[in-house]
Amino acid sequence: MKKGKAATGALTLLLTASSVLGCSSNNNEGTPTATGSAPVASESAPAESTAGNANQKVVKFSYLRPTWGPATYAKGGAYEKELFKQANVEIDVQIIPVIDFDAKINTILAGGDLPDVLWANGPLMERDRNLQEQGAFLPINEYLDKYPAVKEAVPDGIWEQLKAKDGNNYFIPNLIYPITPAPIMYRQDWFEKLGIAEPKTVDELVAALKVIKNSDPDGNGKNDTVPLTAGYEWSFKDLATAWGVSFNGWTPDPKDANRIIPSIANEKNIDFYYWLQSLYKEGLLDPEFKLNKEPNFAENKFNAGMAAVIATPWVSYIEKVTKLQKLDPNAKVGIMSPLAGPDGTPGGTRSVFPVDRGFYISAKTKDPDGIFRYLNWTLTEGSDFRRYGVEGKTYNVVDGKKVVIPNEQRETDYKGEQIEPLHFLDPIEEKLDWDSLQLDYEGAGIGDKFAYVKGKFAEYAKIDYPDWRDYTVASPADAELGARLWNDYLQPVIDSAIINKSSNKQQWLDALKKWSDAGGQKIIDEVNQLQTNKSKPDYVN
Amino acid sequence: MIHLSARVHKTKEWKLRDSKKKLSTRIWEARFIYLLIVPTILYFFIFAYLPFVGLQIAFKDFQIFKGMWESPWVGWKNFEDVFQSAKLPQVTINTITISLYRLLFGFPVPILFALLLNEVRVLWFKRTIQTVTYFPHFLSWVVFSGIVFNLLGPLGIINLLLKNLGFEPINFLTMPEYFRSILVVTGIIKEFGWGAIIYLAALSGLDPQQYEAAKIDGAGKLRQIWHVTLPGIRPMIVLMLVLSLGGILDAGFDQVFMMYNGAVMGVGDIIDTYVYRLGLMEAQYEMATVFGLLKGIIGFTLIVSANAIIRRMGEKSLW
Repeated sequence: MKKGKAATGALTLLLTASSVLGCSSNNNEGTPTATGSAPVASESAPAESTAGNANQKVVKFSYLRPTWGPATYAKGGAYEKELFKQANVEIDVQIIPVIDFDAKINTILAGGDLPDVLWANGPLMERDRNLQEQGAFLPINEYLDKYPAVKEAVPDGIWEQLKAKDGNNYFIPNLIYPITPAPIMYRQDWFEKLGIAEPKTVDELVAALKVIKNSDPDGNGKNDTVPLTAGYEWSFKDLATAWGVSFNGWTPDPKDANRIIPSIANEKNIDFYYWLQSLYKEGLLDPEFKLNKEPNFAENKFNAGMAAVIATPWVSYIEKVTKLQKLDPNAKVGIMSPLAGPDGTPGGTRSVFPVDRGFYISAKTKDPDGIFRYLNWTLTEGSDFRRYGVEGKTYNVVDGKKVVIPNEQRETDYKGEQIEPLHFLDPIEEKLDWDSLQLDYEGAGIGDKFAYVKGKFAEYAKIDYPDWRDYTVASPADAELGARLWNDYLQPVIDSAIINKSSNKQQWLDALKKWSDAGGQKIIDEVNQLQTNKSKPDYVN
Repeated sequence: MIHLSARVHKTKEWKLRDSKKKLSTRIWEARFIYLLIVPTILYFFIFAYLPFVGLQIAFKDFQIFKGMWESPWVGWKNFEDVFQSAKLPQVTINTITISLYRLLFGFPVPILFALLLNEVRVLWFKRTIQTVTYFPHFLSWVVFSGIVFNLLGPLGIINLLLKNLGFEPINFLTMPEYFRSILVVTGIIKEFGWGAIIYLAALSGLDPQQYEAAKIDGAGKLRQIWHVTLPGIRPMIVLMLVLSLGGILDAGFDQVFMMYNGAVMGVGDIIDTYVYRLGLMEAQYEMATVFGLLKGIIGFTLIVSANAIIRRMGEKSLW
């Protein structure tokens, strides 16, 4: 499929997914290990090393990364000083709000002056594959052998998939757990008040939204509660499974089981978009959907008690409950089980490739060994600091367990948005660590909800609607034509399908035909020809 | 008397001598004057002319890491790709239409505003109005479009009013029939105060004696404006018109980018937003360069021809 779409889709999704993960990992970040007492922020620059690395000189490098949280990072904060002191590093961080990531990174790359360590999309994307081949990045194999903790943080299968044609690895992936449900969450207290049972099918969902639209659940005297909101189309990735769709993904062609086709050419997917359009037309879907350019507008709306239902990443549950209960102590947030589709298709989750971007080391960097020594430190000695942060500042020890302090309760210098920019690599086993999640729930004072959320996760994970395309198999036609064809033919109709009331399925099909004739068919054929393994992917096992 | 003529004589002599000097000597003698203009020349050299070397990307298969010098030449291939683009006609038409609307409705506003303001006799009122109207110029479109969204958005103030008056809310920002008008009107609101400054400056240079003469001839306010003020600032109006013709392919990237959405893309997508999506978001630098080059050439041609026409019409031209 046109790479544009696939890539943008994948990124958006990753964006959403990782914003969740980003948040959760923020909560897990950082504190010191060595001393049991709460560390005092050092006033001086971290020139002197601590005992462990006394004989090594300070590792200095520049680092460019996206941030999912608020872009309020300020250099020289207490957390940063503590990290620099413990790890014997000086990192010159530059952040890009993730929403601008593609445009900014393209500008920086074209400028030719690469930071020592920089985030990118990785070799599954044409641009980065080209850069690897042009020698922009450092081959890392020898360092992986020298620093096994870094190598072991990433499963062998993924190193294998990210390997370049020349047999080298260049890219250190940011791992995500492939199952990241985006369930429908709702104000359970309002549903109970209005006497609406929890919907089991999409039709019941629509009926419930209609009731909400015509009533006043928040009791402010006006029927102004937004029935359903969502930040992006990608937030609906799991709702789309009720149509049997792998959102923004490729699935087997209903007419030929040996072929896969992109979602844009999948009629079920088109139906799903126009189903969303019908919600929009009836005022059931947030009128600001796709219009409000504030990235968190939907979450903010739900958290402020202005919306009743939201399609949202599952990891946002803690934040939703804690914020809502501050406003209204009786607020309850429910999670709908996967809804059944209009024709009874059981819903599930749309899994993702377990890598959301990652980073490269510039080929021109002066101290690659130092960078790896630092990465290795974050995964060994510094592992607890990376994960939990500073005792008393980002976590407390309760009954011998490290319980993360919720972000709102931390001092400014220790908030997630100050810690996230200094983050590098988390090992795969931390990506879905129920024990630590349970501590997060307990830390936020909603430990009683943990089993409920975990149960819902399992329900979503039961049926997977993955993307069947293997992006490690490059399609030259897609690389050459994909972006332009997408922009020229499909993006106008797909971007307007939901919010333009006069858009209809026939327009989509017409655009698809033109796209196909202009080269889209060539891309589909080439992908099918090059990707010989068309079995259903399973990223979990 | 003697004194005076002696001085005239002296000046002539000095001029005569001067022109006989070598150019280098004359430059050296006026070195401090030349020094003053050096920063300007440097500025234009570094920021306007030096970047021209980057135009070669339009004729190359640009490879980021190798850099533009090492990237292979591909002839006109990038131009062929651009002209094959199915979106090109649409974005070009949108760009020109929006620009022409801006010119048609937006160009006269600062002039009218300056004329009105010029007639205000209470100084503090004049000053206040001027400050208030040019202030929005200093807001970025990110901020200003946020204000527009809060006014016209689906949950904005206008819709709140409509709703409370018993009408159905109107989602202005998703309606293609309104989008260009919204662009033009909000653009005018943001910039007219700033645009009026140059006309106010021109107005202050008009000779008060001409007004007195007109008054003696029995001209009222409107007659004075028509026969004295407007002819007086005509050179400035013409100059501004020539300059805006050169920018006809710039339909306002910041504004459109901040305000458009999928539903209005058909009427609102302009060359610059298309180039941004393709060139920057998708890393197709060559295509972005081709568009930049073409826009530059067209803008240059327009300025030159507009200037020539104006000169023929006997107006004061740019050069």
